[in-house]
Amino acid sequence: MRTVLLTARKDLLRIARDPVGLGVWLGMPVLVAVALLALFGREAPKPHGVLFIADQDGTFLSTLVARAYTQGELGQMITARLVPLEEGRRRMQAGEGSALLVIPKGFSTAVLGSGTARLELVTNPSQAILPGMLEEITEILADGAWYLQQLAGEDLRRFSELPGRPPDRMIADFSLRVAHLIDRIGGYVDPPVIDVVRDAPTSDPAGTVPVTSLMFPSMVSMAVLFLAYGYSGDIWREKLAGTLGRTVVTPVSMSQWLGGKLLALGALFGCVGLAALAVAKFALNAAARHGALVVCWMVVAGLGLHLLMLLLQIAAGDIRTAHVTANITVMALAMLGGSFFPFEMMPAWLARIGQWTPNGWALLKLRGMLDGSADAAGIAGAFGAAAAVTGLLFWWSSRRLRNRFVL
Amino acid sequence: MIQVQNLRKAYGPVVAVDGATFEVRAGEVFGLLGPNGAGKTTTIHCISGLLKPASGRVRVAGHDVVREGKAARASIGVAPQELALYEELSAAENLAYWGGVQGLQGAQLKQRIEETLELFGLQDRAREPVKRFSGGMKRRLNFACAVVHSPKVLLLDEPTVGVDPQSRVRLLEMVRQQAMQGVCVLYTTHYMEEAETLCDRLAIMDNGRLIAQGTLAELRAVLGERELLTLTGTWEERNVRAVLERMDGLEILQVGPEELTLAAADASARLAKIFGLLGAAGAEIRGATVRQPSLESLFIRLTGKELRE
Repeated sequence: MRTVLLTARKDLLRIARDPVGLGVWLGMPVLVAVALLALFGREAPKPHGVLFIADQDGTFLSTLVARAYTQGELGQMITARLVPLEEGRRRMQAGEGSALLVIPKGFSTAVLGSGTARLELVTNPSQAILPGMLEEITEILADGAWYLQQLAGEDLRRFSELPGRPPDRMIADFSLRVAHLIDRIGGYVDPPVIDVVRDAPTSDPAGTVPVTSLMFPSMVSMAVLFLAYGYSGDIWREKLAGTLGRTVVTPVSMSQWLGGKLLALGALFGCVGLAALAVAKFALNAAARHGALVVCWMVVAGLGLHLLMLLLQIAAGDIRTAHVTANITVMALAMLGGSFFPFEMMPAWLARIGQWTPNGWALLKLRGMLDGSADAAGIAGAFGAAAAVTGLLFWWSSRRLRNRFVL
Repeated sequence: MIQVQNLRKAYGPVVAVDGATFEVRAGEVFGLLGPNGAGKTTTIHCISGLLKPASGRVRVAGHDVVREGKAARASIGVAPQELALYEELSAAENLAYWGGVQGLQGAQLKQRIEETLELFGLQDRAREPVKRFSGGMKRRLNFACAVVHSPKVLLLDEPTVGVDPQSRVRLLEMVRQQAMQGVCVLYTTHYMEEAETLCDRLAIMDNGRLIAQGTLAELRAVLGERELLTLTGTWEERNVRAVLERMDGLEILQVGPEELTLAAADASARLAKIFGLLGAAGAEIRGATVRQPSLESLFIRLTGKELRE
């Protein structure tokens, strides 16, 4: 164990004395993080979209309904545009809006009478946040209209028959009656009389997550992958500097030596994990639950990836081949495994493949831990599998180093 | 302390070491002399445990290097031919690491680091990264890392290659100091003068085989008191051989189309006669060198070629 610690100390000193080397491998994910911060700030970005309203009823009530979509918080996110029905459908087809609300002719009569009114909401499947919110608003309107019909149907009918604005006294009486009625029957709920017809294919859930939360695990994955790759090349530096050969002629075994190197790298992964969590919490406002587990996962998964890269490096006959092979592999893994782009931004078939790459699999588990969706059994299973694979790769690397690589 | 018996090591069809047998005692500097590619480094690698011999037996400090590798390696200090240092670390950190992996720790390690830094004249720059050192300083540190744990056996593989004359003298002094302290030193080199001045016993190696071994005096006796005469020019090899073979006390070591090497007891005195005979045989002589008996002349006598070829 003393030898392992000595070797780890030596490697940590070497890493610390070469900050440029460390910066090169951490630079890319840090750049992405900074860019995200600059683009979106600490808060999750607010979406903005266009709601097309085809008001075929053209009454006082239908105008009130249309205005309801642009009130309060929603009003900052939605621009409502009145359009003819055909134009609305065409523009939705072209993907120009978040949703199209159709208020059919006779809507007002149906609401004020005791019939069933109908609102049609066509949502854009390529967006998820705004159409979802618009659906919610429409549901609320449907409920509200029913209660209004039950409580004040008679008054509203009278109001609509008046030529101009109702007198103040009439409005005050109406308000008091409504307040008393609400006190009496509040809490009772019956099916609404407005049916909301949703018209949208199943949408991708990507947009329901803030961009920073979506990108943050990918940035972490990229940092781990690049560090794992970057420091795997150290084996060639040790070989060419003669220090590996010198180590072999000491009583130290290759597994002790490699163990020391992994211990140093594990400490580095741990530090990077802690820094990443701090960035997530204080700068990116991204989901960062289970901090200790996440750091441990970065260490275990990082070491597994490092050993994989190390095997590639030592399988090559010379340093040039080793670097080219490892370089191509790491780029392919970064692209496929969600480290450059989150899986949600990839075509579904590519994402399915990517999730089975080592870094892709590790990334999914990391996301599960960060957003709290992973259960205890799943986390334990992931750690067990990663530790087993890392152990196997360690054994294999030690053997290959001693028997094939040193000379 | 080092026992090598019938050591053989091959890389595919190329036999690097072919049946080498020798022994090195404690407190002795044993030189392994030979040109590049003679098999010296492979021999060192087999002794240090870096390479596994194809056949034969190597024992270091009483331990078989194959069967008891760890125990054998604990007795060894190796200064490889190429520098083997961590350039980002300081001299003291390098010594701490290499001493540490050899089992030193605590106050003992600290004391040995201080002693070694002083011995090798590196104490003033002990905390500086090695990458800022000159070539000579790196060489000294490379050597220092091999002795920081006070090994019983020291394997030095051409430690003075590329070293300036001042550093070379200092390194050779340090090798002598180690031997005086009872360390068994195996020293490979292709510098004749180094071997002559430093080594108590020598083995000459060529094409993987040991072609002679003994003390310097014993090896010189093989050559006798004869001088070595090397002539350059152009001639007919057959004619030259025919006229020179008739001369008493003259041995033809090597005849080439443009170089001729002879050994004779009084070559300088017989130079005029040799020139006359060669001239009569149609030879055109452009240069002549007479050398006193030395390891170099012995090497030429044994192999028919220059050591630095």
